Formats: sequence, structure tokens, C-alpha cells
Amino acid sequence: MTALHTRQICFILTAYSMAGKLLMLPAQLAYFAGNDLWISALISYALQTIAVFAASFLCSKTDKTVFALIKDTFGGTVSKIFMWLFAIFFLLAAFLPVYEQKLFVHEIFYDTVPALIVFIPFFFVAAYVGGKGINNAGRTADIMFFLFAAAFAVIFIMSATEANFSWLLPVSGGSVKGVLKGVVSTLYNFTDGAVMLMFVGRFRYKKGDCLKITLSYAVGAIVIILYLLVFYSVFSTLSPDEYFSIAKSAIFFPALSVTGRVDLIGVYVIEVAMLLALIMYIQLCVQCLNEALSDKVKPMYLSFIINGILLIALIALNDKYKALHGVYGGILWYVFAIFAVLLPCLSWILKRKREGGE
Amino acid sequence: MKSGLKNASTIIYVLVVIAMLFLFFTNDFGLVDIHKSSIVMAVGIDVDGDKYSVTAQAAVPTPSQGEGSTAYTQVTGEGATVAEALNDINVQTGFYPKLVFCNLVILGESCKSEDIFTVLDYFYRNDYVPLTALVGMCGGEAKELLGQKPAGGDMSSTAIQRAMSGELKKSANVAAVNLKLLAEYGGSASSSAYMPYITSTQSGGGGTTAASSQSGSQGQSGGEEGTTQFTCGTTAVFSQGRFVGILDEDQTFAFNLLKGGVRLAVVNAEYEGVNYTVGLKNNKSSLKINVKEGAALKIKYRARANVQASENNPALESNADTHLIKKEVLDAVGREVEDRINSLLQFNKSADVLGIKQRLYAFNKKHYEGYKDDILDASPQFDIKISSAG
Repeated sequence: MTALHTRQICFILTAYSMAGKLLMLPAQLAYFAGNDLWISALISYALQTIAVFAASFLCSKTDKTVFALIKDTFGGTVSKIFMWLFAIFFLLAAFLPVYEQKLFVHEIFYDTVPALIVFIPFFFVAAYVGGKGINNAGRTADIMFFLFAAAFAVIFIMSATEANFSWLLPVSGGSVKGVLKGVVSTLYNFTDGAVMLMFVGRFRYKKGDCLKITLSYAVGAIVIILYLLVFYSVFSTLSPDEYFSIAKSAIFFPALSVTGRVDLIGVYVIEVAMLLALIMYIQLCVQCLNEALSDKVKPMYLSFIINGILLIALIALNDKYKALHGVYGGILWYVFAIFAVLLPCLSWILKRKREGGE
Repeated sequence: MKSGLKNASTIIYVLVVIAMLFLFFTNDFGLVDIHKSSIVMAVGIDVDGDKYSVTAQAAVPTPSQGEGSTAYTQVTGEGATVAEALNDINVQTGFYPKLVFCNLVILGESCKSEDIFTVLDYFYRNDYVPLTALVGMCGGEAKELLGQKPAGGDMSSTAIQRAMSGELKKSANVAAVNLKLLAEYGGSASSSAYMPYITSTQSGGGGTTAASSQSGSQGQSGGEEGTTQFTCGTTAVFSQGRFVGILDEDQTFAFNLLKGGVRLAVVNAEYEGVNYTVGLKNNKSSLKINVKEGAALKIKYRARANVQASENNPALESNADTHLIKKEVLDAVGREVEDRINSLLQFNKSADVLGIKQRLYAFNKKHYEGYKDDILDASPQFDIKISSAG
């Protein structure tokens, strides 16, 4: 139960968290908040940082998982209910980003619209890795963190050469309503508090780990906000239409006109990190289901079932992105607010006994 | 035995996944027939009444045929919109034009009467068109311009791109712009945009050649007589998406100096009847709006100059200070630069080609509503200092 290392959690909350915010988020924030997109992101990140801090600080008080704490406080039935609820939450958290990944692959890696089938191999990988448990997420994060950091740094620097930061002026030029709408509509990208809650009791807490984890997350948040500034400075009035900016913002780098799209090497690496970040949701969903079913069904089978559901939903809702985003941003946002912000903060009301009953 | 089978199935599973990922990332799920493909390098757009005529210059993928062979085709389609015209090309030729490598969009003279952002709408909506594509306007038909044979033996689109190159922008000779910048300027508070105005001059055979302009016609680069040279020293200006006029070469020069990014600008100045051609390095310019006592423009320009050539004091006859310039000559250069900037500022003030309203909005938003109508008429203060490079 204590196979994850603090280092791996830090890597997950930095690299995977960042990777999950590079697809649609910049354009969506620009659509709602204009050049104040960074303020929307700052609000969301502030809430998430508090949630991550609350969950990681909880780790210093207990070595039990959050479901075990719920069981101690409210009983086994309530604990089972929360396991199911979190499983559904992570399934929801995975679905729209998986859909966005499909759109990303179709647009960026192909020169005309390809068939839906080209994205299906993802589900083979996700089904296999998804059944391996969250320890697997920790091991992949060990490798991906450095690759992601290098690739992101290259893309960031290449993008920054085209940035005209005067487009960010005037600060607070838009409406407060737009900024808040930006926060609400993109809240489904911010699930880090819930992810951290799942790590409670799954690693051996050492003194200072809470600070390390929270700081790691905060560093990732600052880098993403800086990237948003660069993104808007590159695309300005076109920003709301520039989905998948991570694959586009570097194309203005002067040398690329001679060398060709070598930036795509970096984009491929980031893409792998994005996919692994999505698979982590599936791993967390499998874990919640596995505990809810008291280990009666093998995780691998659960992973295949979950991926099957995602695949069927993807096919059934193909070309319905706008409607789906409307549901996530307009209706389901409070689900993400509850699970990723409120519950991690409320986890403090749980009885915090250690395994020995101390 | 059971364990061995389990391991084998896992390995097979992983191999299948790797194979599928390989197919996935190499696009082997969507094999492309080379004979049904065309890689569009440039697009020319003309408007005839309510019809768009789109000419695509495409590189034809052919097996290697020896040195220097660059086959291309030029196809024209028509339709109510640019998208329909491109679809017409598909109908005529059997291949769908791929715009991933389209690096040039040329608007014909007929587009002057249209809103350019309506004309270019397709390129902003289409996810597969790179925003790095250069944009320019030409006199006459874009189709005709693309059909001309350049002097270098390249495709005309390649020669035109060379005439709009970044190097020419860095020397302040061409106001090159791509699709992204065009939309940014057009969508700003100034609603002004610009693009190079392409002119072509014939050499050798004389007369304009309109080659390969019909659908399906083929062209082959070569060094025949009657080749064309393309230049982009002037600049077409648009306001609210509509054409408002053309900046001449001096105004384009001044425009580039004020826009920034100029490395070495060459300017000629006359002092006491002698011509001095001076290179301006370390160019730094700023355009500030002062709102303390009414709206006022302040234009600041700094550069370091060295003599490139002069009719007086040739380098071979002088000492180590050959490149140092007399103060009087520097002043003459400063006056020349100021004259060009003044000329630029007098150009159709309401067009706001320098983006003054956008600056007012970005840096003085509180005063934007109050001054946005007057700021374009404000008299500028000049602060131009050119020092000798040392």
C-alpha cells in the first residue's frame, strides 16, 4: 500500500497536471476572459493549490486511505458510496479530455480529417496500463517528468520568441463576469485536488512532504500561467480559435521555416505525457471500483470495461464536442468543484487514526 | 504451462499495441496515393462580381527526373466562396488541394473592393492552413501573377516569397505579414491591416506572360525568355478590412522602422550636394501616447549609422575613421528619416496604419473613449537621434 514515493507524487502533480491543461484550456480561457485569461487560471489554480495542500497535509496525520478514513468516520456503507462516486467522477474527468485528445490527434498529426479508427489504439494502451494500478502511474511519471519538462521547455522558448506581450494590456480589460465564466467553464480541467486525495495513505509520509508536494504543484501552476501569457501574446485576437495551441504556438519560430516542423518532436513527447495523464484517471477509476467491489473483479477486467465505456461513448458522441463542453462547463462544473476542491478541504473532518489506532 | 501462456499473451498484446501505435503515428491508417495528391504551395484569389476565383499553384509529386526539375501545376476553381472554389478544384482535378504547405496567399486587385477578412475567412477557419503563410496583394489578377515565370527558374510562388523574405523585412524594405499578424492587426482596436503590394516587371521577352492559368495546365520551371521579377517595396493598407491605399517605398521604409525588428536599414541623404548612403544599425523606435495634457504622440527613434558609400571621401583615400560620419551628415540622415515618417503619418490618418488606437487602448485604457477620435489627428513630437557607429 505504500509503494508510491513522494517524488513520484510530486512528478505527477507537476508534469501530468500541466500536460492536462495544454489542449483546450488556453483557447477556452481566451474565449471567455480575453487577455485576462491568466486571472481565470490563477483563480482555478489558487483553489486547487488549497485543495492539494489540504489533501497532502492530511497525509501527515494518517497513513490510511481516504476511503478507510470515511469508513472509520461514517461507516462502511458511506465509504462504499464514496468509492462509487469517485469512480464515476474519474470516469467523467477522463471522458472529455479523451475526446479532446481524439480531436487533437486528428487535427495535428494528420493533414486532412482522418477516420475515427486512428484514435482507437489509445484504448488498447489505456486498457492495458489502466489495470496496472496507480503505482504504475508513479513509475511512468518518473520517466515522463524529465522528458516532458525538456519538451515543454523547448516549445515554451520557441513560442516566446513570437510573443508580443503588449496584447496582454490593458490588465483587467475584460469583464469580471468573463473571468468567472472562464473559471467555471474550464473547471473540468482542474481535478488535482481529487487526484491528491486518492494518494492519501498510499505513500509513506515524511516530514516536509506536504510542502514539497504543494510547492511542486504550485511551480507547475506558475509555469502554466506563464505559458498562458505567452499563448495570448502569440495569438492575441485569434486566441479563442487556437485550440491545441501547444502544437501551434512554436510554428512561428524563425528556424522552423528552414528545418521544418522539428517542434513536433517536442509535441509528440508532450502528447505521450498527456495520454499517460489521462490513463492515470482510468487507473484511479479502476482503483476506486476495485475497492468498491472488494477485490472481487480483477483490475485488468475493470480497466477493459471502463475503456469500453469510454470508447462507446466516444463513438456515440462523435462530433458532439460543443454540446459535451456545454454540459461539462455549464452543468457538471459543480461536480468538479465538489470533488476536486470541496471534498479535499472537507477531508479534515474525518477521524484521522493511524493503522495502529493511535 | 498456464503461466507461460499468460506471459506469451501479454507479450503479444504489447507487440500488437506497439504495431498499432506505429501505424498511428506514421499515418499508415490513411495511406495517401501520390498520384491523387497535390501539395498547394500558393493560392491566388480573385473576385469577379459575386464569384471567387481561386488559383492553386501546386507541386506535383513526381519521381526524380534529374537535376533541377520542379514540376508544378496551376489550377483555377470558381465558387461563391473560397471554400467552394477549392472544392471546384477537387471536382476538376480529382485531388483535394492540401493546404498544409501553403506558404503564400495572394489577393488580386479585384479584392480591393471586398472585405479582406471575408475573402480570407476560409484560411482562418481551416485547421490545416498554417498561419505562417505570407499574404500579399497584387495589381491585376492573382491568377496572372502566379502564372508568370520568375527569373530564377523557380515557381512564381517561391520567387514571390523570396521578395517578401524576412531579410527584406529586417532591412525595412518590405512590410511582410503572415495570416496570423494580419488577423491580429485587423482585430485590434485600430482595425487596420497591411500587406506587401506585389509588382512584377518583365525582362527579356517583354510583355506579361499568363502561363498555366487554365485548370489542369502544367508548368515546368526553366530559364526561358520573358521572365518576371517580383518586388514588394510598397504596401497595401486596409482599414476595417477595406482597402484604403498604398504606401510608397519611403512610407513603407518608415513604417518598418517604427514597427521594429529592423537590423540594417540603408538610407540615402544628401549634404552639400554630396550623396551619402548610410547604414542604420541598432534601430530602436517607440511610439508613445501622452495623455497628460490632451492626447499627444511622441515618436522616438535611435540608430547608429555608418557610411556604406559616399560620393565624397572614398574609403581608399581616408584614414581609420572612414566610417565615422560628420554631425551635419547625421543630421541630414535624421531629417530624411523624419521626412519619411512624416509622410507616413500624413497617409490616410483615419486608416491608423501604425495602430495608434490599439496603443491608446492597451496603455491608456482609461482615456481610450475620450481620445480615440482625436488621437489620429494629434501632431507628433519627434525625438530622432542618429549617432555615428563607432
